[in-house]
Amino acid sequence: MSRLAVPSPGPLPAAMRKLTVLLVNERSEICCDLAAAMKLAGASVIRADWDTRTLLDLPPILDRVDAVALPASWPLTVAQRASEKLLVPPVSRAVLVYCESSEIDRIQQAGLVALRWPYVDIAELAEILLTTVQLHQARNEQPQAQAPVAELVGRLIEYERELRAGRETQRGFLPQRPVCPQGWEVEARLRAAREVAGDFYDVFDLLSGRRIALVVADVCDKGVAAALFMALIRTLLRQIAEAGDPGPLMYRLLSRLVAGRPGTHSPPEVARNLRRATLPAAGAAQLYSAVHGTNDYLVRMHGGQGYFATMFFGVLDPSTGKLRYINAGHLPGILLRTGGEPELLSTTGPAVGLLQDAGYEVGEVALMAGDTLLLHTDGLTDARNAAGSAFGVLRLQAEVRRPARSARELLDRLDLLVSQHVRDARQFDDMTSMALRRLPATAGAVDRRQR
Amino acid sequence: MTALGGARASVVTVYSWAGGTGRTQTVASLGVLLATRGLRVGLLDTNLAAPGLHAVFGLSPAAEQLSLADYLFRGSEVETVGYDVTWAVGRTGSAGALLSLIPGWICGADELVYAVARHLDLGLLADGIDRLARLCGLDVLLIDTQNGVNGSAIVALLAADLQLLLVTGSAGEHEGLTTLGPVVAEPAHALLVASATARAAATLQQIRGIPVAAALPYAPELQRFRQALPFVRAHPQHPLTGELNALADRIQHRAQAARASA
Repeated sequence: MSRLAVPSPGPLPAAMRKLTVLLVNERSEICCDLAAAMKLAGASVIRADWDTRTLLDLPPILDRVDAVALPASWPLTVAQRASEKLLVPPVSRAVLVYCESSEIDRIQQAGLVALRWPYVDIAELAEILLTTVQLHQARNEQPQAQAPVAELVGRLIEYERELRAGRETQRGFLPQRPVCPQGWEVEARLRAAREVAGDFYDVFDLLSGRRIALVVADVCDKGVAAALFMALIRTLLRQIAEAGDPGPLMYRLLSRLVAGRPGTHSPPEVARNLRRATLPAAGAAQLYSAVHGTNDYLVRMHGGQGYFATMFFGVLDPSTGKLRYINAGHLPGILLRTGGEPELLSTTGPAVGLLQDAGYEVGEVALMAGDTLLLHTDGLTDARNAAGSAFGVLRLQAEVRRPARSARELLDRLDLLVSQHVRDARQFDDMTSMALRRLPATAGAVDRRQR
Repeated sequence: MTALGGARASVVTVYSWAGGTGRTQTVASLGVLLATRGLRVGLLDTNLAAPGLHAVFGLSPAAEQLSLADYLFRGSEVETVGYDVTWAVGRTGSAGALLSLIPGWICGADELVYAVARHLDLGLLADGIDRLARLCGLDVLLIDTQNGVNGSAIVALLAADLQLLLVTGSAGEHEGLTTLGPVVAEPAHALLVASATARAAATLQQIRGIPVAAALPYAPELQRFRQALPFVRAHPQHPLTGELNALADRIQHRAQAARASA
């Protein structure tokens, strides 16, 4: 998901205008983006369809460039040679290796600068280019200026360390072992596109274990900023749900009762049924106040920052299988019925953080023995292969129709299918999935005995 | 209480705007009178702020522990926190209890903290009422409420098949019942009971069209009454007992009609 508005990069360093970068192509699509971004950052860009041999033959054009950007698919020894003694007489060039997140460690361990593309914005790209060239010049032309180099390298290491710590901290926000009531299976997965994620899931007890809350959410955007909002939204949802303020739901229900009061000539049963419909269900106050309160807080406190989240928040009564839910602008939950057609649990209100006084309806559905509810984020359905083709909602819905023997098997199958579809293409978005399965009656009995 | 299954019990909620109207004694006495007719009756005290129904039957939190608070705050099932008080009926049921009571007392510091400092989960209370009505083999579930405007009384009124509104003409009563607005039922599902004075009930009857089902006579014995016994058992010949008996007839009639239509 994208943010509502992306801020402009702001003033770029004037020194960028003097930089020329030689960009060695790998796949044209990526290089087009990267070349355009470098130009936006203020650099002149020369693109070259070279192989390693061409580079090491030292074409004269290298005299005119300040930095060389190489693909991570090239042997790193070539990049190392290019940064050390490329030309004759031995004058080297600053080298950057553009790569995916997973390759950063390998590149940095080889003593090279890694450029995670497309996970940097324009201002960041300008800073990386300029710093790399300046560092390189300092090392080659002013051997005495080793102290600032060491300081900058130290800062980079510190940055990476902090990011890694952030990732670990964020993992702590996910339930280590999702709560699993007797007779049920709950399985969840999250694969982040970057070091930290904007997606999250949560499973927790309400009302002394009488109800189970299940959340799958997708904060718009990716990376550190989305992760900060993830932490905020996850905490608000949990805290408000656990406090269980009945106010917002009762206000909504009683307002409806007042507005819907039948005329004096209506059958008395109409009025009685309306009163019965006004009764709150156990767990519904927690569900409603959590989504309503989080939306209210985000709009009030962070409305100008353009962040929002879609989410599916369900509250399950494990004894009856009844699930009350709010789908706030999220992809539909897919309810796989034993021997029946799948049902889609579609939106019951807008994404959280967009509208003040957003009216959320509470949906209701019952899971019978053997039924499975699948929740996921759009990272799964939008996962693209190298040709740019998405996995797709329809394919997902078709694939999950084949019965699975367990919640884990269903998610394993989805993981495998998405991986086979994407192959080695870059993961653009966080992927989260959750399966809630009511065990068939006999399996439940076996399960209880085992416990 | 024994879960017998079968039809849903009629939920009868007894409410008064003011305190001190004799509401709790009315609930206890109606319970005894209905059980005397052979109906299986459950009594539920939702007045957690000032529970008193248990005292009418001589139960005490010192001797017994479980109450509605265990269901609301501690995770007990609502069907498991009741007591058999059939002894008060003076006859025994052919199968299981004729009269059961779920007290509303608060026991221990943790329940006190829940009751005063946290939100009473109205959904859980509503579910509890529904479970008692569906799963315990009751014919009638009589609910005592907290007076005034409060969440538990609103839930008990909304859940009712029949609302018994005790009116005394006390200050603010008329406005208070107006405040409750559509939570108060239409004439088909509500009865007014004039307690001590009939004038206020007559006024309300004119405004809302709710029939006055009983005019309970002033009974100084009730004011002095300190025995752990429902009034109708201690004073079987009292005019108040006679009025309550007539009221129990109407409730029985309503409950049976509701069952027949269900």
